[in-house]
Amino acid sequence: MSRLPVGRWLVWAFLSVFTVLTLFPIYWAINTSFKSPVEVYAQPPTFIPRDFTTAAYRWVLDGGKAMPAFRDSAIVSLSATVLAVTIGTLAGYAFSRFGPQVGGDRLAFWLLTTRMTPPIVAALPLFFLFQDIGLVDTYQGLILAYLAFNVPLATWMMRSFFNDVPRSYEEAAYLDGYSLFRTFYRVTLPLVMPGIVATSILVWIFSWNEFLLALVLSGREISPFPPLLPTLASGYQIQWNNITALSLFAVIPPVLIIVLFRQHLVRGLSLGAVANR
Amino acid sequence: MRVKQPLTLPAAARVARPRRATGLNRSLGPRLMVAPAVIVVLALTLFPMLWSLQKSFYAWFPSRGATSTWVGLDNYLWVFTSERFWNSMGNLAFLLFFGVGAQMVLGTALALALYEGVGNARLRVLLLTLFLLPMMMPPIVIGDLWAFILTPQSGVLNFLLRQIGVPAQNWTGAELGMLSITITDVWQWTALPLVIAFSGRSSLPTSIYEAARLDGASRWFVTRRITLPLLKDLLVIALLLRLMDAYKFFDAAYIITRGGPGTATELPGLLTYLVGFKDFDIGRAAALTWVIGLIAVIVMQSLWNMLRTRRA
Repeated sequence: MSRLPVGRWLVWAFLSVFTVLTLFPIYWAINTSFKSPVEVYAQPPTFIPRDFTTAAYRWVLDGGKAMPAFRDSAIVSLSATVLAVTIGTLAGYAFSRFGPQVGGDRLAFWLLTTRMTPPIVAALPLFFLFQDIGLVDTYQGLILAYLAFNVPLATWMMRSFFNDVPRSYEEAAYLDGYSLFRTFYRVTLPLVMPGIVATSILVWIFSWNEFLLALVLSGREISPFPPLLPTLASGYQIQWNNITALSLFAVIPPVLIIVLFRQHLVRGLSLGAVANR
Repeated sequence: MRVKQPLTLPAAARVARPRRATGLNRSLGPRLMVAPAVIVVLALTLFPMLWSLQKSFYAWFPSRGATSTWVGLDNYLWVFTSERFWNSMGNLAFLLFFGVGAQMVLGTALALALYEGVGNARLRVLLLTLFLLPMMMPPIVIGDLWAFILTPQSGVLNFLLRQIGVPAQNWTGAELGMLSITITDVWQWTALPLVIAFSGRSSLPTSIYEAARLDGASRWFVTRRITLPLLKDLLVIALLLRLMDAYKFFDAAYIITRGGPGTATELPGLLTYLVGFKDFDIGRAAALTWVIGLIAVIVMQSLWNMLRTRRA
């Protein structure tokens, strides 16, 4: 291939510009989070905090709003992940091994359709139905609502991971007289552990990041951090330093995960279209 | 499935044991395993859908009291004749065309630039990871970071623009609101086509590229005539995933413009939310959920059939 220096320069310019564009909002959030409420609105804006202060971080750590929100987010997202991955692993195995017996592609696809539907379609009726049975503003209600979208994802992902495991081990176990569940538990499950980890990570990130269901189904008794943000970011004299500090806290867990588990996420995000290398 | 016949097993056992395993527990077992998933998803979609269907034939404003009146198909008629609905569909078309379009072009270009242009493997992984960060961040956080950057009076974007001689713009106004929302979506989701194209490119055999080099093919020729055609199937999947996800777009629009000013930046999901939880017009909101839900299912089903026939 030709090695035109112009081409190389173009490639580097392109990558550099995109790197700057990717980093700028993150840099700006860090910069803002160390400013005072007055300096946030300074004109011209300061690119390094003039009066460096950690007040915003103290607001996050001591304040009555941020930490309870993170606690609620953690409770809801972790519970939803455990339940969705457990249910999805069982169903994914059945779809992978006994497809036609359990409804086959048609049922598996129907499960996926619910994931592609805008969440408001479920959120509107769920709000009124949950109100009747006292599930609005409860952990149980929000966890249940998250299952509607994450069980299909977990099922679909686990099905693809089970498809990768050769059936010969299971056939051998059946010949040894193992029952279906014993085979599943003792033979197949250990082989898909990496898949379970990858699925859990993705389901957890989606639950942690979820906004609309949390906005509709919670807010008073319990409130995960996503619906808290718009209430802070409205009105006049918005405290952007507090908001950016809170946002950075919220971003740390998913960012750590992507740095550590990047390879495992690709497959899930493409719904199995791209295999791990 | 291929079963290796164990040579040591007597013929009788060979027949007897698999039969035991194919008895009750193999036909009931799989159904038991699928049952929790089906029950959970059915309970959380079927009941709500039926509830919405019923409400969509009534005029019901819970904030004004519990009484609801039967209005037949009026709510659906409103959906299809109201300017707000078609306006939100137009905004969606803008987001899908420019937003997803930009993500596909940028993502593919970045993937190829990274794979073919960056020789140092460590730098390549570092940049790839960096580009993936926005994709994993909460969309509502991305919305608030951009809302601050785009603030018309004190935002840093207008400041930077003034430095290079461009007058300040009203980024959250009626003209530019949709563009601002689209920018945040591009910032977050360019990573998806990028990572899919990158994985696809790195699994292409090097022998093709050696052959092309020996034939003296130019880099542009190789990209256009070899790489892109080979990546086409994966890129189609990336495109479908993005289109389906962009249809659900809500968070950043909610925090940046909340559909405004007026109805300028309303998208179908956001419109349904506003009709339901701001106007408290539950009948119309319920009709809207059925319309946008059915569109999602029909589009998904036809895309699915299209992909299947292509593969077969």
